[in-house]
Amino acid sequence: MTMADTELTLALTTQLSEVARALFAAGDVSSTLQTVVDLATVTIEGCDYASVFVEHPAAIASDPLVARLDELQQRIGQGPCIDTLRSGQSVYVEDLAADPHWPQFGPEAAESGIRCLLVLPLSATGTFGVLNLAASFPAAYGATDRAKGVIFATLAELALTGAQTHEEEDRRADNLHQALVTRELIGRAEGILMERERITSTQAFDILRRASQHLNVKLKEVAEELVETGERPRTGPNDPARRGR
Amino acid sequence: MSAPADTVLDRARQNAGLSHGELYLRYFELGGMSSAFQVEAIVYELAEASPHDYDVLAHALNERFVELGGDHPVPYASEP
Repeated sequence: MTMADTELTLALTTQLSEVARALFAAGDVSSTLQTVVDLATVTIEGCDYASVFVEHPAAIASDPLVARLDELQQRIGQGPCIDTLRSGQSVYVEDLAADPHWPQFGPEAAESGIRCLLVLPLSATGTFGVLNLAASFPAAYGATDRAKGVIFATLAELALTGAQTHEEEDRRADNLHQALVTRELIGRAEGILMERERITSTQAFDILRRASQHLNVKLKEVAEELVETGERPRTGPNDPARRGR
Repeated sequence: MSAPADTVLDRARQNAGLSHGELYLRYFELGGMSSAFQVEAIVYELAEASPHDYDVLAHALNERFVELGGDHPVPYASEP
């Protein structure tokens, strides 16, 4: 390894470490997606525009030009991003103007100013779509750029998976918190009934449950009403607590 | 391993489109005292529930059916 090689390797690893740090610090899935496309253009030499292409709704793009290109693929159902999404294999198109694979997409893309594409899968399942690295010039990516692209896409996939897991954990924590709040409310409503009517917690739950069924509202709402107004909920004609009184 | 038993509560759970975890959360929200593991055993009739516990579970399912535009199809233990 020459001195120049060593410096190049050092620069490359430093850059990729910074990329990893930025991707993992982005936050939720949508911020991570935006960071992926923004960082791609500054990390991969030759890349002018980047997007994360998905089969449906709007793609995340660094620039409207590449967003339009993605829309074109979605509309005509043809193009390298669609191929990568379906096969899970990366595609490198040196020159869209000269490649016969996509007879409609190729010429239209070249016409709009995009000549070269490197499309990389973001996950085996296609959950996050594919990374689309677009360049204004043909054969924009050398072997090193393409290798960097592969590492970049892997880092992006890991960061997106982490962000998604984090979002799910937040959602679960919110659900649990909400359940605890409701559980406490119902407990308070049962307590009021128990004290007032000298009944057990099971009987108190039964009153709330029958009222919920009779009024066709959630038990939580019956409990809320009771706690707020102090009024005994209406349970319909078959209230066992009322029978025989 | 054999397939789980086809039970009234599990059929209701599946029709309500709830996972075991989601059903447990709803049961817990209504004040249910059994663990998630015990609830799953009750759903598969591998453990016997007290009438009260059964009713909490039945109501958790019925509230889901109401959300889906239905009625209260799961019978209650306290209403023979």
